[in-house]
Amino acid sequence: MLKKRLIAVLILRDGQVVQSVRFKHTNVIHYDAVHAVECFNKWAVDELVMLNVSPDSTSREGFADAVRRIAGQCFVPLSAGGWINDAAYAETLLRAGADKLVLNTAFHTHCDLVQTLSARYGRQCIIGSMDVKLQVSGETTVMVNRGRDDTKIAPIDWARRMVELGAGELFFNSIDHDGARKGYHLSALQAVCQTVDVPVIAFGGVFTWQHLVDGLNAGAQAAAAANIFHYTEHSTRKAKRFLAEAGIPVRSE
Amino acid sequence: MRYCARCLYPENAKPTIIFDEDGVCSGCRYHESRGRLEVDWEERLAMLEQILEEARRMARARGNCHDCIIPVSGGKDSHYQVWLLKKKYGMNPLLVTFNHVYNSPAGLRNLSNLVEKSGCDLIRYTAGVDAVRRLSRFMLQTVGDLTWHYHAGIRTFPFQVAVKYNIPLIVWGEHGFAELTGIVSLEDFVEFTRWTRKEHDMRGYEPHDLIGKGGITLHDVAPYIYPTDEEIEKTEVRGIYLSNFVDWNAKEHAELMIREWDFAPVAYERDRSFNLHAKIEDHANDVHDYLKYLKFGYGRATDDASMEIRHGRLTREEGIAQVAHYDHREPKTLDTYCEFLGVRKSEFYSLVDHQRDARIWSRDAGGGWAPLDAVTRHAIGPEEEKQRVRQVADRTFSEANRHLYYNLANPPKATGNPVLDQQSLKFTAL
Repeated sequence: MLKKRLIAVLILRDGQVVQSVRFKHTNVIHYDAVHAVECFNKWAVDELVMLNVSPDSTSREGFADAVRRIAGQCFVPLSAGGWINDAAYAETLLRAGADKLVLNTAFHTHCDLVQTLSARYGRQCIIGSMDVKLQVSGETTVMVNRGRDDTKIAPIDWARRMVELGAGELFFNSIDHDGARKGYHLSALQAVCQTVDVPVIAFGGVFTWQHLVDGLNAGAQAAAAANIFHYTEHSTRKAKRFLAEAGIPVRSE
Repeated sequence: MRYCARCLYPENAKPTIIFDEDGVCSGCRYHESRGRLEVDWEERLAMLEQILEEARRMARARGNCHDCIIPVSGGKDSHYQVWLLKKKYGMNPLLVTFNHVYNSPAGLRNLSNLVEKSGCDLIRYTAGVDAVRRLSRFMLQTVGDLTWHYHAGIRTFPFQVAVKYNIPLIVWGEHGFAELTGIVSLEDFVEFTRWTRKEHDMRGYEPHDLIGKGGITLHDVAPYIYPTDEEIEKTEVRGIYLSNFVDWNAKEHAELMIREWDFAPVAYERDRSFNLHAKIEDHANDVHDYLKYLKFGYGRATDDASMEIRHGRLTREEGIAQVAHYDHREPKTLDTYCEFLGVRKSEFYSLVDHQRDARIWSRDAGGGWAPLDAVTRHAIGPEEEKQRVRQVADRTFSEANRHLYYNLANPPKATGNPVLDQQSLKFTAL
């Protein structure tokens, strides 16, 4: 049976690891992400995802440097995303040591780029990231451009479209749940998991280890979290043990 | 330089800071969150009691008489932590001190006072003075820190003791970095982690990174080697911060400890700040803080005034006046520490040259260093007006607070104890 994965996410803004709360950056947790990675490495995490959430694209080079430094310390698969809007930068990140690319807005504005990258590097290299949000109309739609622009597209349609364009895996996030400590947006997550046949990574809102279990039970292949893993000693290892005790098949330490 | 619209912190404040869209820093937001409606302090105290009960249960099961460790320096927070756990919650804490070595007479008086008043057992580790000198010299020239040994020591030694004596709980006071500049929020119930120890307290250096540098040996760094993951897990030790469970108010706690246990502030004017009751245990703190000014353009008066502003006890204008008076002053103990480290004063300054933040320091025409900016140069505009804190009646420089804060116009009364009334320029290792 395929094991479920536990993923630590590092949210980087101008090279520093920040807490994200509903896509606002409230605190700088680490001035150097390498310190966090040293710990996660030892604490049984299965993968790392680094996201560049800096407000402007001048951050691209600095982010690639951070990927390079972390790749040198990191012994698990590493994914990187944020501001990937041309093939050259995608290559820069891969050469810096990223194993997979996380693309979000590109699925809206640069569909040809996504297709090219998927054809060139293989679909296993492309993670389609989606940020869903409950709108005032009562509908849940997908937002792009760091949560600013509403595509007005429903999550399941968006998920299907990302897979058609070449995503080998999806990274699900909810802007309303992000950093809100109430668990994943389970209904939307479940709908997405039921729609596509590629693995879905659940993200956004974890505050207890049970939330990780809930996300995996909703159909996700991997449970991801950011803020929570920075708060306690041996966090990812404890989370992994909780998953195992809850009967979830995970890679043993 | 951008400064917080509420307190006086600059954007290069350490360890990390971030401003929100209103121009308010993460430290102010952390402070403000204490008063929010959704923070239920009764519920948090109940959580603390549960953690303490669990520690007592584990101690009984292990046949241990100590149920927790409290790392103490002898300062106001140490007094309060021990008082709260012992008197209010009936714990039997083992006090653990990592000797600063650079102790002031007032600091030694207060540590001794704490041990006597609390009746608790104490373990105190004193690193060899030669090793301290080597570490201090190396850290001074690499990162501008001559107090690395005790910051590293106090974050490491309690865990060594926990592992050795099989004690499952370490109780810290406030989450110091969060109180200053943010980092985490109150909702996170953050616990001690080895990475804040390495990244912030130890400036990115683990002991093994230092061996062979500046004559530093394995023996020199032994006190700073953290137990292994396996040892930590076997002991099941965790480190909690009381400030997550107790509505932390350092001034109130200091007053309480002055009343209850005779904690003593100093009564002389300090070189680097108007605060008379915090960080008085060692002299090197002044040089340490002066280095912060030389590197980043702000010092302890900014820290202390920012805290007073957040509490509404000082206005922004009053805080800025304190910064203008203290932040640039060279401490009198600089000579003492240069002598200890074996560097001339001119050498001390040249060691700092490469560490000056280019965002705030530049060379002037005469080749000297001049700050490019300071909070004192910023007029109070609409953004700052909007962020003003409601002022409280308890003014920092009121008569009632005369013993806690040095008021230039109305200095504190002498206590009659020379240890508290006169600034000492020498330190005492033991």
